[in-house]
Amino acid sequence: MEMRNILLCGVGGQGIITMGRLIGNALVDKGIKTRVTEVHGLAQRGGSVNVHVRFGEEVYSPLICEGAAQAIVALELIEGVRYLSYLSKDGVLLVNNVLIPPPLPNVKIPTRKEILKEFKRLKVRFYLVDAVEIALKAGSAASANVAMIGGMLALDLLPLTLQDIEKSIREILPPKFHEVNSRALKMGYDKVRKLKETL
Amino acid sequence: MRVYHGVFMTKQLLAPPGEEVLLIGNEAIARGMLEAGIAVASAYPGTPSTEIVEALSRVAEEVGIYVEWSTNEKVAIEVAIGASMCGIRAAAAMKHVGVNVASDPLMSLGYSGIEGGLIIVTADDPNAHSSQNEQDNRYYGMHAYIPVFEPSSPGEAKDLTKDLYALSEKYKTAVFLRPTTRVCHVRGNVVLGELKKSVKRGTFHRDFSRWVLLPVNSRRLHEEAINRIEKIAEEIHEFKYNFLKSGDGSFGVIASGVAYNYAVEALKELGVYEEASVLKLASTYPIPKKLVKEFFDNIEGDVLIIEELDPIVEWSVKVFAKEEGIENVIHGKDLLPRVKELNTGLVASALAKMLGKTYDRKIHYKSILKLPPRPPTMCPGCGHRAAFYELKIASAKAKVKAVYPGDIGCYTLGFFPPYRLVDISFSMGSGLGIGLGIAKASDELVAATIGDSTFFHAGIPALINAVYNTTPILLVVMDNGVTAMTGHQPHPGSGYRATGGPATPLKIEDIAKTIGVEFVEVIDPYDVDASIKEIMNAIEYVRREGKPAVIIARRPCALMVYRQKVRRGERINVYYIDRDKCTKCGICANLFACPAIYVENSEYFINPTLCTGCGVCAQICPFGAIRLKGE
Repeated sequence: MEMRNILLCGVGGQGIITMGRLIGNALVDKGIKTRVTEVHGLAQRGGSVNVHVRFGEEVYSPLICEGAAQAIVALELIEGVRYLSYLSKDGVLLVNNVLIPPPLPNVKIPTRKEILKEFKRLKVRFYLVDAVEIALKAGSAASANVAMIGGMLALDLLPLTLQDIEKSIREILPPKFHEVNSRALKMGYDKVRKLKETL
Repeated sequence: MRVYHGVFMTKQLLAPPGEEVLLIGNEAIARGMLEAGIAVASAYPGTPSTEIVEALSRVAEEVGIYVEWSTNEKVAIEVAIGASMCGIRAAAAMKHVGVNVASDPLMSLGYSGIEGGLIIVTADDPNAHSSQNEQDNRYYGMHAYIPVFEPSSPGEAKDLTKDLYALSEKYKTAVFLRPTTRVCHVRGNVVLGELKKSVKRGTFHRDFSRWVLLPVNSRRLHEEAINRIEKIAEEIHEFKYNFLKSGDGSFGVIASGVAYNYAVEALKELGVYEEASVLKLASTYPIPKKLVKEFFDNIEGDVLIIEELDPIVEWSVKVFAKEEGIENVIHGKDLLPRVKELNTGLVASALAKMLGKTYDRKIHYKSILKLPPRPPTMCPGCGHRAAFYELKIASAKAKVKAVYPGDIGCYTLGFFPPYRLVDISFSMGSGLGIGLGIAKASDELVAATIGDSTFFHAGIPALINAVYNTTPILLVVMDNGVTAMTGHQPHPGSGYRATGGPATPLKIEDIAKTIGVEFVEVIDPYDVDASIKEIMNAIEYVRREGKPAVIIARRPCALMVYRQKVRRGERINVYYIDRDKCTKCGICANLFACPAIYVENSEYFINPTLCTGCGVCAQICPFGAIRLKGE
């Protein structure tokens, strides 16, 4: 299969590494050559986090090159802007409609409006999703990451089905979180599919 | 953040042979160890090495092996050496800088050799993602005459680890397995092999001629070590993890470790993969002489050596080429950076330069928005944040501008604004030690901080030094009960071991008192006023008596407590800001700077999904505007 690069990003604690793990597990389950690259330790404490997901027979390097990601999936708006240089020309940005200001004193934070304006100015093809709202409806704000995976499936970013990710959820997450995440997955999928139809 | 949930990881790590699973590089190494039948594994946690022994600790009981978090890397390596001396297979894992701590026994190990197969994992961190430096530990291999092997992917790491045990025993030498961050923390396909039943108990192989490094033995062993490495250099071309892909002879590349992946993709991107001769090296010290010779025999043109950090392979190959009369132009660090990580783009540029081609990577979307940096922060509810705040206020109230040596752990984040209470961060335990010198060499008041795990690891000798030499210094031990930064591994103060509890915890206050520190106080950083008062007392004591004082700021890691609460389904009572009382003074956001507190349109808010309900902000608000929800 054709090589694919997807960059996941957000703020440490949002479940970005778990996202990579759920996706990677499902890809390997299908026998697809996969590389999921993450950073642990110091870098993850509330900092800017990125996970590189690459798959396809030709994949060797664990890292995506700038300008080469077919998709960026951002769990936070500022981080969505931060990693834009990784997006390929025809790439798509799936971004969670959440702005988390870094807790730094006296630092100017761009507003949501400014960020969305910037996406439009750059003519980025982007989908804005209220993943936290979806996750809350599913039962827990912590499932926003899984709702975003649902969105990725709706945009055909992964050669996977809802059932494949559900299987990953069952294999990787503790049982008490299976149901809420399966719901968030489906709801994220439905939401983005609707968005896709209206755009 | 880490998502290991005991039973699920155990299931994957012990899955039956033939299955293809997704493992992170470090788990793959752990699986390789299990497939080789190791019986003892020891480590001190450190990124990017931690998950190797973490993974082993989770299956230790089930497979019946001994796994420990050692007090520091030196002890970890010694435990593994002891096991090897009993003829059983063992491993010690550490991050690159951990090898510095372990280097003393390591040098002797290079002389003595081993009995049971022994792997020392040095997880190097090019780019210093989570480290104080980018040191290249392949030097340690050369320094200690211990061969070095570099895996390029999780799948290869598993197989290589397993096969290195046989190699270790064949040559009676310890071996270095040197993965880097982009192998340790990359998840990839791993095809599982047979789990080997390990020999669990051995008997001590008494061998005066090898284990007793007195001069009479050392001189002989030195020569033996050199001969051993020579022998490996002559024979290692047969090791399957070194391999050659032939091309049309026009040019070649030699690549090791993770750089091999960048080399393959860069060659393909430039459309010259078929033409290129590629020598992939797993053994980078010593290099496989016959294979390198064969590689050069079939190339007319230039050669590029692709490796991260220092030109270790490059130097070896250049020396070898000189000896053999090889005349190809050999490039390496003249075209590639010696600092930070490599990637496909950097390698493609270097290759293009060598081949006289052009290579241009286009960036399609360049934002002009000015983005705030997002450095890592202490978590909401972190006791360290409260302790730093209190240290700052206490210093101000005591009218001292102290020197604040810091140390290695989550509390290094006290460096960032608004705290700025880390003037020095060198290496494990060095904050206190360097502080002692500052206190002796100047009239500065020195207030050093150290974490609990770091205190056990390397802080105690410096504290003994402070007492014995009567050094005026304040030491604040940031005690959260675990080795938090690396993912909550237990240490001698935690009360449980790598494989579970219980164990009798050592109390830092008892140790400090036993050493002879006269001023030892334990504070709860969640109690702001009392903590400030006690820190002021300690400052006053250090100034008055000219002796060391120890404050232990004790609060269990907030992240760990939060996760436990969530797991138990416990409700978290959060705080909010009362609009009527808030004067927008900004103390909570600008001086305390908890990530749960944010400003929007000049109004202050607490994010209820981030608040852990510690209540420290409510104590520091001078206007009583921060209140418990439902109050």
